[in-house]
Amino acid sequence: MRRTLPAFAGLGLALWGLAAGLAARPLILLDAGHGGADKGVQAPGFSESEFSLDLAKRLAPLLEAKGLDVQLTREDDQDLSPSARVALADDLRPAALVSLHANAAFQATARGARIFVPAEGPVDEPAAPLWEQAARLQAPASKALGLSLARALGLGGPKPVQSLKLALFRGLAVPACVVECEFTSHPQGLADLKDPAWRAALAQKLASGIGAWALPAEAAHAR
Amino acid sequence: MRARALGLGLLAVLCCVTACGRKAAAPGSAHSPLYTGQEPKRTVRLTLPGSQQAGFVYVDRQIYATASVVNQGKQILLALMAGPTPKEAQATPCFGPAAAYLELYLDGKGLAVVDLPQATVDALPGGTSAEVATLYCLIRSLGQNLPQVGRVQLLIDGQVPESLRGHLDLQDPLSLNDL
Repeated sequence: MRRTLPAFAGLGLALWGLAAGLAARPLILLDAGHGGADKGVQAPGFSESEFSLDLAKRLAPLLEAKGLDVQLTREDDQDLSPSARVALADDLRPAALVSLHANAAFQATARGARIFVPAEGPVDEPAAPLWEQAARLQAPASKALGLSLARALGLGGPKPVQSLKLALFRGLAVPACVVECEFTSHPQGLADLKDPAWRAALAQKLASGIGAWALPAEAAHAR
Repeated sequence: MRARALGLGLLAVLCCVTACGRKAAAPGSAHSPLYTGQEPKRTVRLTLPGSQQAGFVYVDRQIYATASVVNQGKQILLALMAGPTPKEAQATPCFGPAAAYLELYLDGKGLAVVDLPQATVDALPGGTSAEVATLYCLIRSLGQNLPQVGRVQLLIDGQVPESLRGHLDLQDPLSLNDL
């Protein structure tokens, strides 16, 4: 009896520690852009809603392997409005929402990824609606996540991350980024977007960028 | 606060009016001619996406300087939706083919309400960058040529949409600073 009590206590402590460790895993909400009737950008042999879901499913296990919990806003080809995605995020309170998309431009020369985050601004501006003030609180964290993703994707230039008033950011109370992965309007961009190997490499880069932001100690260890 | 309430009230009325199902406007339509052809002409400057590099280019058009500023605005919209001429190779269209508008309203306080049919929205290419470009060209082309316009509220089939093609937040009027 004297020996079993400490054993049980030790086991309980170990289980508690395991549970606490699991609970502490940051949750990333991956948003596969568009879906259902909204197919997003369409190009010969390419559908944005299919691409974004495929990419989210490639990215999820990579993030889990890094020690993050992952949930997808949609698991199949279903309609989901921007406000429904925001409501889901505000219910789940993930560490971040990362929305995956394919881009298009009127110029056939546009290439590369684009990263969009909520606009920064004063959080106590009386003229701003309360939901906007709440969203602004998350803007610095969103920008940091965006910059981490930009580094992972090798984006340079003076503004690797742009702030924009997107419907997905309206009333959103968690850090968030929209990643437009490549331009369907460029012949090589479209070829890349269709290429499974390119998608796999892209998922690795995105996982690296999200991981470095969500688990900075791991990133420091890796360096 | 009172001005904001009045603005929202006006927008609600406009939404109700346009939701009654108008057909796309055409220049010189027998029911609502935009001009008689007797008015003097004026030059307006349209903003279009550049074809060779990122950014925008400007092209000039002649419209009739009608007494109605709204009808001038409608002529600008039609010219913008028609896109560049074959000689303007430096520019690309910012709308899809067969683009049209349903209605244009000005509230006299800097707000223009542009109502687009769903078919015109569906013909846009999609993608955040293209969506930004379309709205930038629209707001700048109206605002640069009509001092009465500083912000634009977009409607789709008479309703305030969440977004254009799933990206930009259109639940409030947009100005160039938002893009």
